[in-house]
Amino acid sequence: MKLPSRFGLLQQLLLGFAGAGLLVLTLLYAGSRMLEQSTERLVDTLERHVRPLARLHGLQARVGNLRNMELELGHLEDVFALQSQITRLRGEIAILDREIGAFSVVLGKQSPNEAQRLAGHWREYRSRLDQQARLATDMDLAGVRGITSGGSHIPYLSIQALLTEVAEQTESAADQAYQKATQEQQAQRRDFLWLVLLGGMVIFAGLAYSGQTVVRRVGILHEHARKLAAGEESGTIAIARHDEIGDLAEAFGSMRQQVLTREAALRASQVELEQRVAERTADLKSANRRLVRFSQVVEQNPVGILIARIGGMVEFVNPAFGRITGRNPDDLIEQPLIEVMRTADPLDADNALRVAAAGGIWEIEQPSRRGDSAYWERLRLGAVHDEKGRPTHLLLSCEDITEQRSQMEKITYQAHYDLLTGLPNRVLANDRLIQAVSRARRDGGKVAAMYLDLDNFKEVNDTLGHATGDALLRQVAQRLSAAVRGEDVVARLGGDEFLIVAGGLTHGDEAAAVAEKMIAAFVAPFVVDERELTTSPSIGIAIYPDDGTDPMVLMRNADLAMYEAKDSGRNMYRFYNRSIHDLSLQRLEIGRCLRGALERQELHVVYHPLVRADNGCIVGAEALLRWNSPELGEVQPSTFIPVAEQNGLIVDLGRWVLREACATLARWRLQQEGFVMAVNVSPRQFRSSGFVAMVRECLGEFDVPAQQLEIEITEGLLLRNQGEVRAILDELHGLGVRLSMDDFGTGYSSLSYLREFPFHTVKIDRSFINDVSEDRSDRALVIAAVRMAQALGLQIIAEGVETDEQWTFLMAQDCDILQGFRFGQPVTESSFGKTWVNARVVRPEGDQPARKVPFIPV
Amino acid sequence: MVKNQWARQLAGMLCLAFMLCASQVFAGEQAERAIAATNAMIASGEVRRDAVIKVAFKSGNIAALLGPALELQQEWEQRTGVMINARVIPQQPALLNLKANPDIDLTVARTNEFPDLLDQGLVEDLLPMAKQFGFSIDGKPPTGYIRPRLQGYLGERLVAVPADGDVMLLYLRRDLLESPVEKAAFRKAFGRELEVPRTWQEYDRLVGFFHRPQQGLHGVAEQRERTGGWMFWMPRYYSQAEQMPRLFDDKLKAQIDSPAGIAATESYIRVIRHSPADILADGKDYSYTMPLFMQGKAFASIFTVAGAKLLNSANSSVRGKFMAVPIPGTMQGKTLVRRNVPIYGNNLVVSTRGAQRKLAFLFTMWLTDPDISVRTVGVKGGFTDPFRWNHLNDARIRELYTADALAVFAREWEAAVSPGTGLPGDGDYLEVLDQNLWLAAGGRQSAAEAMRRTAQEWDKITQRNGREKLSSWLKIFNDGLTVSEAGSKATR
Repeated sequence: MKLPSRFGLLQQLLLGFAGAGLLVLTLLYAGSRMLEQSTERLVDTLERHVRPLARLHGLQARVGNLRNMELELGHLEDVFALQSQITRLRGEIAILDREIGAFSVVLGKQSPNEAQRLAGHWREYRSRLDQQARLATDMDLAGVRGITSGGSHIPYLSIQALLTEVAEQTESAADQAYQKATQEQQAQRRDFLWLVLLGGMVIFAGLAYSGQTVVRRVGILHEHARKLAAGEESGTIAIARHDEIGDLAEAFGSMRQQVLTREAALRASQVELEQRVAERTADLKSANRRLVRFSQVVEQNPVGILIARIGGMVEFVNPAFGRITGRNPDDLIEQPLIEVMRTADPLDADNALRVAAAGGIWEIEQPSRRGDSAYWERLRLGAVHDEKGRPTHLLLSCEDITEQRSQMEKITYQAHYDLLTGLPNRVLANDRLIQAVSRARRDGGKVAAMYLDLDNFKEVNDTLGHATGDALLRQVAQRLSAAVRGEDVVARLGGDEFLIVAGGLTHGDEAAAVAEKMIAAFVAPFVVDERELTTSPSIGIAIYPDDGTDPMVLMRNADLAMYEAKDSGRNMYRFYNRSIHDLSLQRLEIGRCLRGALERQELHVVYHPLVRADNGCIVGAEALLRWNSPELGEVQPSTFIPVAEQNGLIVDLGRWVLREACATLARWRLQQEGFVMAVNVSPRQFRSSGFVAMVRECLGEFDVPAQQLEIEITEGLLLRNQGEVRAILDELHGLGVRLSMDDFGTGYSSLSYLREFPFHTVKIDRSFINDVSEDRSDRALVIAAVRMAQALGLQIIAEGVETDEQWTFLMAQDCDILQGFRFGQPVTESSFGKTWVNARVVRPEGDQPARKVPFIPV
Repeated sequence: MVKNQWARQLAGMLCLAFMLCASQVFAGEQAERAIAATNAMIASGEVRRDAVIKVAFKSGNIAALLGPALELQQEWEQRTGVMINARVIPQQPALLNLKANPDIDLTVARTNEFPDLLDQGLVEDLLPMAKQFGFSIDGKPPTGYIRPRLQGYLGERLVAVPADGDVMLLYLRRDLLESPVEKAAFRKAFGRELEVPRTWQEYDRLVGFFHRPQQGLHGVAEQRERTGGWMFWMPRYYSQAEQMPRLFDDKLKAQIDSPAGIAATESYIRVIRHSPADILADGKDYSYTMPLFMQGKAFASIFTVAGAKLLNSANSSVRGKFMAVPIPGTMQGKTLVRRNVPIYGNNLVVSTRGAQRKLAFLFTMWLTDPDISVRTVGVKGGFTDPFRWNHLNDARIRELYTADALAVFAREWEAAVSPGTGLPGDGDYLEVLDQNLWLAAGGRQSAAEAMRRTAQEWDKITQRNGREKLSSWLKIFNDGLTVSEAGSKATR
């Protein structure tokens, strides 16, 4: 074979790459084979171990589901729901019958004993389930529950335990298979790495040999070039001529000869040129001195000045321009003026050039940045003209007006923002609401105006001072801002009132989500001066356009809805609706009619008997207020009492009721020894000044023993201002008046209240007595309340007794006093005097001898 | 000339075909129209593809309406991409549920609850949407809804789409009624033949004859607990005269303390002595009475057609031994006057405050399609009863309920009139009636006293709710009683 006479660099490179590529392909093929083998081992592991495991878990879940259905069965009381559940249960049993059968066949091949055990447990469990289905068909739910708790859980647990055991065995086998596969994979990876290392070494050796040959010859060429540049003699270039480098050496020799010839001609021309430059320099020095003076004026000017050619490229920048803009003046030279001006809109810069070129002055104030800091600048652009009036250059001046702008913005901010919280104030809030409504009108969307008022904020201010109140408001503002969406507006209207404007809604109910988030934001206590404070919001929501199209109407309706939220118990939100509006009007109407009702003798007191549980004797009465309005008809106390409470009339009404009750008591106590009169007192009346003095005065005026008057207050009264309430209760207790906690069980039902405050009596609310015959939980509460009262030495009264069955039950629980329609409706004073004083009611179990019984002493 | 004649004939045939299509809904067509409309709304961007319809049903109704394994819900979601968020609401009036859940789009309401729901603006008038989506709610066989004017309308407003048919039937023990021994004993005791009672008087005699508590057989297991008594009282009241007695006169004065009201109450009370001893106890509702009958411990019972499904189930001891017959009435001269009242029915209503009202309506349209609805009615252990005429001919449903019971069920709709008072405050009126019926049934007051007290309380409720306002509602209700529709006889 004859080798070619010329073996060029390209051939050498191709040969090298071909060899290296072949080696890499070999390595890739080997790696691919190893990956395939690894995958096959993994698939095999999955087939043999993981799928049976999944089937086992599926079976366990199915059995668990069956158990859940079984547990539900015993608690379904509707006959149709029960039939439906039985049908589902039987269907599930049939499915499991098939699945467990099929699984037992598979399991039996490996573990016959366990397969046999599984089938046995399943037969037992299934028979229990069949039994439960039969009992459920007969509505024997107790029987069903009996099997659930006593008979079926053992086979159920046995099945689950057995399936778990089989699953653990399968898991263990799967682990072992996985470890073996991992070990084999690691060994293959090690072999592959050795192979890669060997291949790499071969490639490296080839590259090193080729490189060394090329580098040596290029080094020779480099040495000759260096000597030529230094003007030294270098002699003949000794490089063999069999490839491209040899060709390069020959060409270099020819070039060296030509360079030496041209160098001599250049030296002669240089001498002539230097002479001409010296002459021209002398002329320029004179002109420069004049220019320097003008330059100093520009250079030292505090206003930034920049000069550009008419074409727009910058020629000159003074230091003040650099200081103001924070840019190096040298960097701006030969930059386009449009870019240097940095206007937000490039069209502004284009316009500026046109105005200046036409002979006008263009001016703008714009925000800009100086390094990391922001500032405001004023730019002015005009043209510089030559002696013939032709524009030759453009002159741009730049001033820092940050301080001026800051003063202006501060003034604007104070007019629109609340200084305490930093939130928009009422002015800005109105503006935002108007904008949101305009947007919604245009886009067809909805806007929610949400009026938020803090519950009990006044107490914080009154008790802890305004500084604490202000700190609380700041934290509230932060939490509200964090709770709403980014586009919503939170504003403080003044005091503890906030307005939230949520626009872009597609449906009014989306506002509910915002309101719930705001309420949730108040759950965690606020910490002010290391003191934990709790407060809650009441929120009223009005939706544009459903609840009004005028922003002011929306604000008013949201305000009305907020009051509805407060009346409904606070810490909640309410949507405005027509009924709120109507309710507001209705309350106004009731309030109007109620004023002067006392003078017009539209009010009267009725009395409801208090009956001793063990023998049916009447021991007292509860005085109840009734109102028959000529305009409104018979108005329920639940309707007019809250209105009177709100407008303060309750104080006068309460005083009148107390006097009426004491006057009546004065007569009846002469007919029945120890007769007790109970009078309800509203929270506002209770806190009114002089309440205790009024009670004392009544007792004295009508000559009534204090222990025969019982004052009833509700639990809610104790929740706030406990110090004030305690002082009043202690004073009443000091007078000898009996104190009763009304409606027990409907509020917090706190044992601590009963223990800490000087109560004599607890009245269990009628809602628990109503269902005491059927409702197990009500029965438990009544029993617990009676036991608790006995333990605390309190007397207990059950309200709302309507049947003999309830009487019997309460008597069995040692309840002291009963009250309710079982004994009659509340009646007028004269009817009560004739019917009830010194009377008794026949007990459900039979008659008992009549005897006078005083109110049970505590 | 010939060509023109041919064209006219073809046009005439096409018009006829169109009229046939428009006059009745073919099975499946209504559902497909609802699906197409939903997908069109999504394609147009009117609703988002990931929109969610919030439905709220009472316990058990979710499986009854959406399928035992929620297969109907899944099918709807797969075909439209619109999700159904179903939640359970308490067993309480729809009024309270709608107020407590302002975000729901669709729920169920009973027919007598419509006035309150409309008065408080809680449910949509569905007619505009029905018109928009080409939804026909006619009551014509073979596929129409059963008595839609009675079950879905109030005046000219379409308040609900019926999804359950709950007219009452009388269930008797066929084996005892046909026993030669019993026949002979009855003839000897009363001098007449033992047969299905046609009047309330005959019914009372019959259940008295079979009342044998010492043998573990009660004459009747008819619900008499504290709540719901009105359902069993109203058929008695309305059948007291050929000219149907009204609950109120035109000035809203309560009329039930009339001789008709007292007679109905006496009939209501009379069966107590032939009932189990604890029939008056709280909680003894149909889940107590129907199992008694199912276990063969009662001769008679009154309940909806759902009773037939229960009694015909594999778990029933009286399967093949019971019969469903029409509700009794009274003889007025030689005319038998009978009137029935639908109770418990689940009618689908769309909330005015829901975010997806149109989608909720379209889902309702789809769910009550003749084909789709067969899959909710023809399910073992389901709650939903036939509410379209085609249900009565479906083989699966006939097997579940028995063909005889379905035949009686279909006829009873002819005698059906609107339940409840038809007035806002219906719950208050019925509660007072229930309470006084219960006290009378317990012997604490006479029938006359019960009706007198009820009438007094009703007048107070009327006064409280505004007599003038209620007058317009009463007119709508009374006008509705006289409207004639397929499957009904006009009420005088």
